[in-house]
Amino acid sequence: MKRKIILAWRNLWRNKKRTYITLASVTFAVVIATMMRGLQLGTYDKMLDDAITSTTGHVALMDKLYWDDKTLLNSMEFPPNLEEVLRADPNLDFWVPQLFSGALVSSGQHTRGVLVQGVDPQVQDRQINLSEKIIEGSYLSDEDEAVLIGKELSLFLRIGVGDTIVLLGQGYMGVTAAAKYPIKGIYDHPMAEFNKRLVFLPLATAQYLFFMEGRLTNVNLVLKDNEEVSNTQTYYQSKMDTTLLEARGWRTMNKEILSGIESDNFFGKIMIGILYMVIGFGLFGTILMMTMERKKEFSIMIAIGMRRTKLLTQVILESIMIAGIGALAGLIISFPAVYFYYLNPIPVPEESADMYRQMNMEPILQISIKPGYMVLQFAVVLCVSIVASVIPLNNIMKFNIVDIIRGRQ
Amino acid sequence: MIKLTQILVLVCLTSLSAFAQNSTEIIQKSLDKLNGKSSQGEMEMTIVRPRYTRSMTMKSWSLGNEYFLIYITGPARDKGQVFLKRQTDMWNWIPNISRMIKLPPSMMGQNWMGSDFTNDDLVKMNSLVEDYTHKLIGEDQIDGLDCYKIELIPKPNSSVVWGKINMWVSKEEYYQMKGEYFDEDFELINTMEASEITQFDDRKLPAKLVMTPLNKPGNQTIMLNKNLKFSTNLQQGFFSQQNMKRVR
Amino acid sequence: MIASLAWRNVWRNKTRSFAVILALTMGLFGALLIASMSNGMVDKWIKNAIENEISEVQIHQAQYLIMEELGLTMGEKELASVLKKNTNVRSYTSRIRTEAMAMTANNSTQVSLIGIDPEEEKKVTEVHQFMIDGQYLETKSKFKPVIISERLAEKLKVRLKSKIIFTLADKTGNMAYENFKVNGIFDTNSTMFDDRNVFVRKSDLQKILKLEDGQVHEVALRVTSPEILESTVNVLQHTFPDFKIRDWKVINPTLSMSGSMMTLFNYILVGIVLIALIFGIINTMLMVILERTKEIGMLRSLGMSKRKIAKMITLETIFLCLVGGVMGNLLALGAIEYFGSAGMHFESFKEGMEQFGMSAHIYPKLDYSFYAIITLMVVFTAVLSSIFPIIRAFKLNPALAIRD
Repeated sequence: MKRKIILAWRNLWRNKKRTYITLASVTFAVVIATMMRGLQLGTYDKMLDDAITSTTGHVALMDKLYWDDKTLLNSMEFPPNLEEVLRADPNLDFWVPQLFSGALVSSGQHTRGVLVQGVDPQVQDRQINLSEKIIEGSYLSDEDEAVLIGKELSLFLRIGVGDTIVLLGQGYMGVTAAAKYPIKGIYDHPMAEFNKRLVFLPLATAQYLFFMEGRLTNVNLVLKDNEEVSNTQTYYQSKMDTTLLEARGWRTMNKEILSGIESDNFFGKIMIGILYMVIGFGLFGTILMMTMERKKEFSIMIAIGMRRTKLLTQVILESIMIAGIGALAGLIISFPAVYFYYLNPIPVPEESADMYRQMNMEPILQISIKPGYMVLQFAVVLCVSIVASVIPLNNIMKFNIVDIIRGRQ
Repeated sequence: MIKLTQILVLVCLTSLSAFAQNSTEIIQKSLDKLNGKSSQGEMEMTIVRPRYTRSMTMKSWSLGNEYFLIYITGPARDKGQVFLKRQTDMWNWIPNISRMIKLPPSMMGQNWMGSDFTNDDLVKMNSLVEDYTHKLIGEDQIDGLDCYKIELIPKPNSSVVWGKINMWVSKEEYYQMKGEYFDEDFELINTMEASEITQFDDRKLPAKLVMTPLNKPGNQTIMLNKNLKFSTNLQQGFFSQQNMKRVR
Repeated sequence: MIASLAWRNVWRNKTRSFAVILALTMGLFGALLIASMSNGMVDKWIKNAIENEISEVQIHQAQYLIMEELGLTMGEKELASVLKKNTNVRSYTSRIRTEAMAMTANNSTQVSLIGIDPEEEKKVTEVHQFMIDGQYLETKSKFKPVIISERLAEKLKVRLKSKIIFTLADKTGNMAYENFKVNGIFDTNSTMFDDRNVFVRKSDLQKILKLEDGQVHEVALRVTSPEILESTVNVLQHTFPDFKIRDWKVINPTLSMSGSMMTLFNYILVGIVLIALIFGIINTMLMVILERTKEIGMLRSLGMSKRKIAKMITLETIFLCLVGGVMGNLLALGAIEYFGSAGMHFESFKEGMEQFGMSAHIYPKLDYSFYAIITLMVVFTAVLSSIFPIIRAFKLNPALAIRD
């Protein structure tokens, strides 16, 4: 066997030109498949991550009843030990304590139903870059007893920064939540619906307003690595009173996003399938020609007494070797290329960039650097090229050596 | 206060037609009993939830079906709030921000003070007599009292959410002892049960009223009348926004 | 002469040529099919949004869009007199709208209550095509009819003939309670639309809101063709300076952006496939050159100019690619035409796609110009791929080549 391998290796380099062409084809195939799949997967991951980060977080801690019935009645008492646990968790990128409730906002004669969100200003900024969206006044700080409202809401209420609004709603246990707050800033989110309906105020202020001292509706955890979701869930389940609280994974909270991405991924898979096919045929053509070219050589080998099966194994060995080296080279070239695009993502064309921003996504085409899919591309291309190189070889079992040597075929 | 109780109870319920003389009369009598022309009282509302129980105390004034005023006396956080209903509109006076707020349609689905009644239940003027047709469907004993069991079906044009109401009215004193509220598929949604017959002013009435929503296990709202006076001298002018800021 | 030589050369080694042709055919077929699917999807999405929801143009009192006050109405007659005369306007309808609380014994939820003129509305929007139960707003019943979506019906636990009570404030701010009977249930492809919108007759809502006769909040119109959309908006805006006239691109910028993004994305897709193919083509042509070393040497020594040889090789590449390209285009055309009318159904993604207002039934669709552009791209690819083999061919020493 060892001798065969050495022989195959030597054979490869007897005709360098041919070997290089084949090698290049396989290498190129791996690189392009990797780049394309990387972009696809990276984009999905990014979309998902952006969507999750700006909404529910990867894992959310909440009362067991809260998800199905989002009222303050089903809010959670923030367990005293939990903050330490959160601080000590190395998997967390950051965590978002929230208090969410419907309320009426009113000024003078004008009243509208809105969603009030009590937030930690720094964390919220990290989550949705709220401070950059302030167009008038300034962003919130922790101790403020003031609110941020959207542009459309300010127009509706006919008020500006420094004016006072009234918030009226129902607090925990049905207590009337009513207070006056000055407007500290006005934000302009690309989604008008957001501007019309969402009012922010600092968490402590919201907790006082809604009779929710020491309570939250939910804590969203944003992880550094979205593969850690189920571990994180298990971890927090073990740290909390599970008769009351739960750690909910993003999958159950974002069913629609998930399904949307799955449908997109389905198209992505068809696309990559087409690419494999194209690559496969390209390789097939190249390798077929290589084999055809060597017909004469093979015929002579057979003529001088080499058994056809032995010749076949020899050539298959060569094919595997060449495909293997090519695919490996492709993989090696892919790493820095992918890494380069990972560090310097391709920007989305400006006319589409706004749409990305509207959906709270960064306007870039992100490439994935997870090694798994790269190795998969390597394996797929390797298989495709081995198949493409082996199919032409069945000729070896058939051709008429006399004709070939005489040049009649 | 009874007025409020009655409205609360009956908001959910409402009125009768001229047919079915007998059963309509029974309902009418039960309403007369409960209502009086005007009333004034004190009561305690206990809201039972799976996770907590909370009690509030309040004073109330009412005139007919169309006007009431409620002043919250406790607990401290809610003290001083006033609710006024005039016909189909409801206002809320909140002293700590000195604001008068007219409840918009979007708040009508909300629970009133966290109870099992919605704001809408309070405001709606459905009349057990006028908005329903009545039928005597049986007799029963509730809390030791012999009762007529009357079925109330909303008239087609009435703005009533219920598909049907079963009401038990005691034979002797015409107390409304029990009500069952069904949706349009005749599935039971709420029950209302009265007990603790007590002497108030010139008449006897059940002091306690328990409302149980069946689709929310563990939830209950209990209204307990502490004091009730009828035939007070209240006029429409009493039920004004100015007065909301003055009543104690 | 050279062209026919090049053509014949393509068929000298059939197996090899077929490998390239097959790769091109399948690659283009696949890419075109995907492109047509995403195209069809976005197209339908936009079409749905226009036909069911936003129409092509909407007119409101300028202040109404921000204040949403019931009093900010427009005179129907004044608008109608202008719209009727405008030949670019295919159809229009006027509406009254308000926010309301929909209530049943089981549940309550906030909705947008839209009062429409059923006959006129049908000429503008297609919601009547999506009725899954009961009728649109035509009824002989003396009750006020309402149509709601299946999703809302489930939430409120109502079905046909059930009563829904709407709590709303009239123009003067007084609370009103009105009962309507469910006359029909619809299910469009858009979850967001379905969750929010409830339709009643304009005449009913007008009375409830105490609006004056002929006062409306919104006019929606369709134009005769997309080309004159912008000019129509400009003309109308000029006629009605107090009103805000917006086309669908302004009303929903996401829609128009997705349209242009999808086209770009389709070209990128075909581009990637062609780049992947270039390598195969170059390899094949290189081999052709190597194989014909002798022949090319002979032609050179017979006096054929480098130009002509280059032309021959380029033409051969172009022919080779075109055969594949044309076959791919034809196959794709056939498939797209077929599925374009039969539709492709992806039930498993229904939920996700409807969340974004898209339909799970895709009707692939591709502009004929796209095929032409793709064919040009194929020719370009061929020319590009032939450069390297030509350089290779020129490096050959004719004398050596013949002797070898």
